Amino acid sequence: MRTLQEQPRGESHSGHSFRGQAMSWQLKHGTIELALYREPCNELGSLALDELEKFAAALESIQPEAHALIIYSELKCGFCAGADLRELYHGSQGMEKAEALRGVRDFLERIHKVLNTIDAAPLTTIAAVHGVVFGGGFELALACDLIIADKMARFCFPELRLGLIPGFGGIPRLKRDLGNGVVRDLLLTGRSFNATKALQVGLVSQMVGEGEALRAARATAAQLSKFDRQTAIAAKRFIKPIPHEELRQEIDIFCDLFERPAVQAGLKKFVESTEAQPYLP
Amino acid sequence: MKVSTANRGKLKKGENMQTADQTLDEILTLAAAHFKVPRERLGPDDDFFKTLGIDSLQTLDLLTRLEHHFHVELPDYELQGVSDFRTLASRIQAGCDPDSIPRPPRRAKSGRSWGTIRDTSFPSRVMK
Repeated sequence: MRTLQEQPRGESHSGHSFRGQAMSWQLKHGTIELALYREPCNELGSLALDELEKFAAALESIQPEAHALIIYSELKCGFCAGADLRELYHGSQGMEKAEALRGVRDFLERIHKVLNTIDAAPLTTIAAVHGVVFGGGFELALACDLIIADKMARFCFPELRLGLIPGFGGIPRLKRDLGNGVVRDLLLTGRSFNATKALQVGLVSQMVGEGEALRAARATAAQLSKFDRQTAIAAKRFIKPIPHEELRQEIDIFCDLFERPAVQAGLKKFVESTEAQPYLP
Repeated sequence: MKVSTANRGKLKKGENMQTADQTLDEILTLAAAHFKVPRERLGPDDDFFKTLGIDSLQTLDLLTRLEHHFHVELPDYELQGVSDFRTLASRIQAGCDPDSIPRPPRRAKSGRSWGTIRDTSFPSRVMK
């Protein structure tokens, strides 16, 4: 596992690979591997978004040579803890309300564009997850075609506990994949559940032993390489439509909710909490 | 992770309920082994955040391990405000209430005993 001291400072590009401060990617044997490694737990803030946008832009030129994409985390804590709430809170302080809201909407529009690109990529996409798969991290995984989960993975949409809804496309994509009862449970209770439950409800396609998700994803990608690519693309387009209308509504609802003082108060309590368990109602 | 003594009283489908003391002992043993703390340093009424020195992400890791170990589902909100091992054990005991477990026939038509049927054949052990 990568430590904070070992994190790369700058960026490096070479052909079909990239190494940034939050993530790296490389094309190898027809599979693109996107590795996340931003401490403390791959929070999705402006830095991660910048690099995800670079990835989405690069995907167009890489994808003709690839048949699969694997997204995984190199950090021990898990796949991704979601949006960077500290950046969201501190970034909106000292701003006019309208200006802060414009910033939030812009961020959401940008990340939706990236996730829609991943969702629709003409490749089979696999999220290999372990540990924390929360909020925006869960939404990143949901943009993929398959989720392969380490048995220690834990899934959650905690947004409602802060007076918000998931804003990176989580609800429409979860609705696309699962029964509405499970969606309501996750969304309205804000509770987390483990990989066993995720497998039972059909959220993940495979549950594997601890530390085995990436290996299983690579094995799956190797199998996919044997199939005709055009057929795989056609099948994906047929069975995985992107819910554009609902994604658009989600951004609007999120922005409406974000304006309320209760949300700012909840974020403040969460961000400023020094307890081992940060404030969540 | 394997805990040498942890399977001693581990609940399995069709087996009798274990005692609260057994549950508590297994939690302490599992936590000590995973977070590499001497077992004798952990007491039932200790604050596990402090004693184990764990943060919220590590607490989730512990929660997931306990769910797998005891075959229970522990919604986060049932554990809010819980910070000592004894109360944690009582929540797990409550989650293991055998009356809430859907029970299949003791013996399947094939003649196999319940214990030989894969876990996935049945609903999760406890759904609160």
